[in-house]
Amino acid sequence: MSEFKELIKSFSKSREYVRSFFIYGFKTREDFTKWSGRTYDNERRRLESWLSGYVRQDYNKKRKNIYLSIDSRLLDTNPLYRVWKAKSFTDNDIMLHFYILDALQKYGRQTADQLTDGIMQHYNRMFDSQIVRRKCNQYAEEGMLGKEKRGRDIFYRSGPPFQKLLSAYPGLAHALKLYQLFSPLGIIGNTIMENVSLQNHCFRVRHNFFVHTLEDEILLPILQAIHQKRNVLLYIRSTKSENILEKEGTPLKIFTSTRTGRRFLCLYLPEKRYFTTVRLDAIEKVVIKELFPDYASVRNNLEKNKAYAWGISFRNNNHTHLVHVKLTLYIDERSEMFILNRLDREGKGGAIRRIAPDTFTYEIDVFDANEMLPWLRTFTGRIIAVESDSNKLNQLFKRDFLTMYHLYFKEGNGQ
Amino acid sequence: MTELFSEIYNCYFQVIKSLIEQKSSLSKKELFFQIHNSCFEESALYLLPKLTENGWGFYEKKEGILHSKLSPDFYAPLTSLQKSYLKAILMDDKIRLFLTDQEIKDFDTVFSGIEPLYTPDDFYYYDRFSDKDDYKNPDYIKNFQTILAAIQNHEYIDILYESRSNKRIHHTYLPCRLEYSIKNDRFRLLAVDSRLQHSPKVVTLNLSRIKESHPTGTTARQVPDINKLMQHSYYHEPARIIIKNRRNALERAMLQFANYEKSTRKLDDDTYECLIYYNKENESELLIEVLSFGPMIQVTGNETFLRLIKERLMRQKTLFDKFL
Repeated sequence: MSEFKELIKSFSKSREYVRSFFIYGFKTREDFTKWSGRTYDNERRRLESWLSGYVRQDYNKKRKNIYLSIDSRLLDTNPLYRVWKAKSFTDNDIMLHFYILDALQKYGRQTADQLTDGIMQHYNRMFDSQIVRRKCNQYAEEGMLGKEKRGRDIFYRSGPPFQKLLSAYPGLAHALKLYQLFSPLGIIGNTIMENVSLQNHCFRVRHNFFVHTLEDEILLPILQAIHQKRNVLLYIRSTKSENILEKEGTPLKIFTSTRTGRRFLCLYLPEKRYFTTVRLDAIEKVVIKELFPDYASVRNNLEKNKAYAWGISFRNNNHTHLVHVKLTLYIDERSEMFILNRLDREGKGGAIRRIAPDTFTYEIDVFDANEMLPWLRTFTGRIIAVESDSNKLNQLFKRDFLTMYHLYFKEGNGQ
Repeated sequence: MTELFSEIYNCYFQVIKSLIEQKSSLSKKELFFQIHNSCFEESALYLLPKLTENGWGFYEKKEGILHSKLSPDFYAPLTSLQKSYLKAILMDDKIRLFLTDQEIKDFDTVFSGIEPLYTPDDFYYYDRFSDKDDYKNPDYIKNFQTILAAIQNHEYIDILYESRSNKRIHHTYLPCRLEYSIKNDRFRLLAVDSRLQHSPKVVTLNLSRIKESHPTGTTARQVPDINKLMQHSYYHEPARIIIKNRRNALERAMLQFANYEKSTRKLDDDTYECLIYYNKENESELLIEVLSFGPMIQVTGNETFLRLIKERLMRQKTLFDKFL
């Protein structure tokens, strides 16, 4: 049996486990059927090691399940960032990291040969100069080292300390404390904070979905493709089966829901000539492809169209016509004006009208009226009518309401 | 673009850097505590021999004390990924709460040639509320900065606040945290009312409603534990909901409620029970979220929360009966 290691080479398997433990939190060893029991044991032990303090355990029908219970309002940082700090490395990786940077910072710019000799002299460690050169080139590519050619020699020098910059711009330290918590790819902000030993005791974030960080490795190449105006080939895990589907298109924008926690990539499919969306957490791999020449006009088109998308859908029953939705509400004008405020700030510019005392209408045109259902349900208790062109929305709303009513009042839960 | 999942960001690298910065010599015990506090649960088992024996050679052992061979001024320069991230956050409208226009310009010059990792235009928050805070308002910026400084210094501040009913209230508070809401794109101040020193409670003030804020020059002798106070405000009994896994409701609910403290258990093949911890302040929000799921989830407790749901349903039934 191989020795247990808390560090890992690749992120993908752990990503799935962390997501399962964090989101579901009720799965036992027996529920994880995709991998062997031993893999489950190792992943669970790793998770307990990485996220100690956040992991809880429970017993359900004598089966142990572990879960992550995190109230995002109580935390100074995202605990799931710790998962990104578990990449395995070799002895040479860590020794050269400290020796090369220390030597360049103490003694100034040097060639790889000079560094190799210096490491031997100052730290009593012998390395092949090729290995030192390779590491220097890797760090130059990472942006940590500068590289300049003088005659036949290539000199390396350390990048400047970020602390110096922070002293010149103290506001930036506070900005980092906030942005690392909620911004896209906040993990990177968090690594900068660690770099200068900063801690956040000033900010909290509400309505934060910590689990998004697990998609950051997918988000990076997508953003790169968006900026380069290139197509992408996506490998997407089916939500219903374990099958991997391939989809190629032009990536345009990341659509994020601040309420449901879902994030989507909005893609243009050139062959079918329409927009579609793919859940970010279903994307397993991204391959950046060729330039898309018509990028600017497609993006403009998206900007025009997204005003009519309630959520992420640009089509209704395979048609792209707009559906008119009208909501009539009973709002007590003396005590419930906050409902009007809600309609105004959440209603995406829909028209609000007072049609009688305590009676208001809200009207909007959208591509896919069904997407409005969850929002419409939040006005339960105040709805006089839901109307739309297709009438389907009204029927769905009423059917769901009656089912719900029966759940509470006809099954022994009576008044 | 460089890798995000890279050993450069590994916590072992990080803890060693901190150790070198902090002390040029230390005992094995100090080393253990430092690793235990900053790394993973089992890291010390692996790291200790590498640092104390003839492993990586960063320390020299003399009479039981470890002496660092590396400079205490050691630092890790920023990677391109980190620089690109900094460029990206400089494009966000909230950055003006922290930096002046001139500072942002200067910063751009320092990192000229670095592309931002993303731009605000790359993201679209399709259900975000439209009445966001005005981050360009000079009074708002001034209040934000006064509060931020007071949080750091544990200093009481005088606040003139305009309530929802447009009443002006003047109080002294000890500011504890600034809370940013992604959904509202707004800041709130979490503070403790100075009059309630013996039984402190967290009060929440919308930053946009703060008309004036002035430092008092008085600092708190004891800083309240904000997490304890917030947890203390939670109802003893959580909301208890039953989820029927139809129309992908389980996955949707688990993700939507992931930012609450919760626990879930499976009752049978397609039925799950989830306990959600909440307080008076987020009760309406939780109620709205639960209603949005329709019949896919059913509230079974606590009594107060169940009553709220039932009231809404009865009111709706009355409206339907009356108008249809």
